[in-house]
Amino acid sequence: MKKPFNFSREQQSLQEIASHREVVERALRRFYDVKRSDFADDFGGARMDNVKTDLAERLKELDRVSSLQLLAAVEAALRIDYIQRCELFKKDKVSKAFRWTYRWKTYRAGLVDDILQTWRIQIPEVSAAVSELKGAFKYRDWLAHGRYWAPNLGRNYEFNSIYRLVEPLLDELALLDSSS
Amino acid sequence: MNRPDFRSYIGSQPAKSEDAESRKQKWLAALGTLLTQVEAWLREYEDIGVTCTRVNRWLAEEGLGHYQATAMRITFGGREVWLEPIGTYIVGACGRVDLNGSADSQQFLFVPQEADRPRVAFVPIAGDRPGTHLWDQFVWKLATKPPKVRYEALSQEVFEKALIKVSDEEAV
Repeated sequence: MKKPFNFSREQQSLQEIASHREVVERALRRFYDVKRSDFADDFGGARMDNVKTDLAERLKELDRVSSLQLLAAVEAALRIDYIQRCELFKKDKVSKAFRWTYRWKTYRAGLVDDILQTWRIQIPEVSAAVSELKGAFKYRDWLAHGRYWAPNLGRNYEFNSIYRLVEPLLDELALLDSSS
Repeated sequence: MNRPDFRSYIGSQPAKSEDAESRKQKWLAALGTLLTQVEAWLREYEDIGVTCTRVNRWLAEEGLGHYQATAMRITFGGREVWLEPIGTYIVGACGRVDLNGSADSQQFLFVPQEADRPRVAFVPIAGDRPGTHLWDQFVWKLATKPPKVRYEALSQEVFEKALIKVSDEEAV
């Protein structure tokens, strides 16, 4: 009998990532706050507009790093669900469709071409949201591969909008987790 | 073999640039409505030094190219807050404007009137397909930040609270 997949159980929830991002944003804003008692130690001699630009750049970077983290967590959730549906021989139509892929690709199913495509076909109500998610994964790929090309994304992605997309979508899909 | 009638095929395709132009105009109109509303709300505070100034911005969005949209600079005391238009092709919304201050930022979304939080059903960008007129049912709402995202109907009170939140470090 095939050994079950060895889950790390270290994946992050969307809520944990959002909370972490919020704390780091607040810490950054406090660091750049002119009223901080040791502000002059860090920024003595700097032009205030440069300080503001510096903060804006760091917030933008935080947004990108958090977006990458968020979409990585979404991938983990989708893959865990895929593996669980296959290993637990669930009887619903999504699980049955996944098992076709599993026979050939086992754990190496493609996130977009196999897993998301199956969701899109089997649950038409989420099809538009899944298409949006596919677009967001292009942004994730751009971030993950070092941003060296000019992306053609069709959207201005940022953390909050990605969160507003993925949270209701994952709720709707009712994914199985690693303890299922 | 029948040769496909390429001319009639092309003729039957929606004129993309017209759709995009119409979408842009609707988004800019919605933005204008928001800015006019904010000016009206803040007018009563002119006597204590609140000012609103419209400023042109260049935005770039795929399908729309580069175009001009209006931002707004709001000042009071020594503080400065910006209402910045972000764009219309926004996931789950038909427009987004950010309120940026030194302490925080808030997002206003142009979403269906009944939306109280993000939902999968809202993801299709309504209103840019021929035959749909859903823009009339869209309104501006304040989107609270993750992890608890809620859409709050935009009122003078909600806007003023947001203004305090983004500009006052103690209020965050």
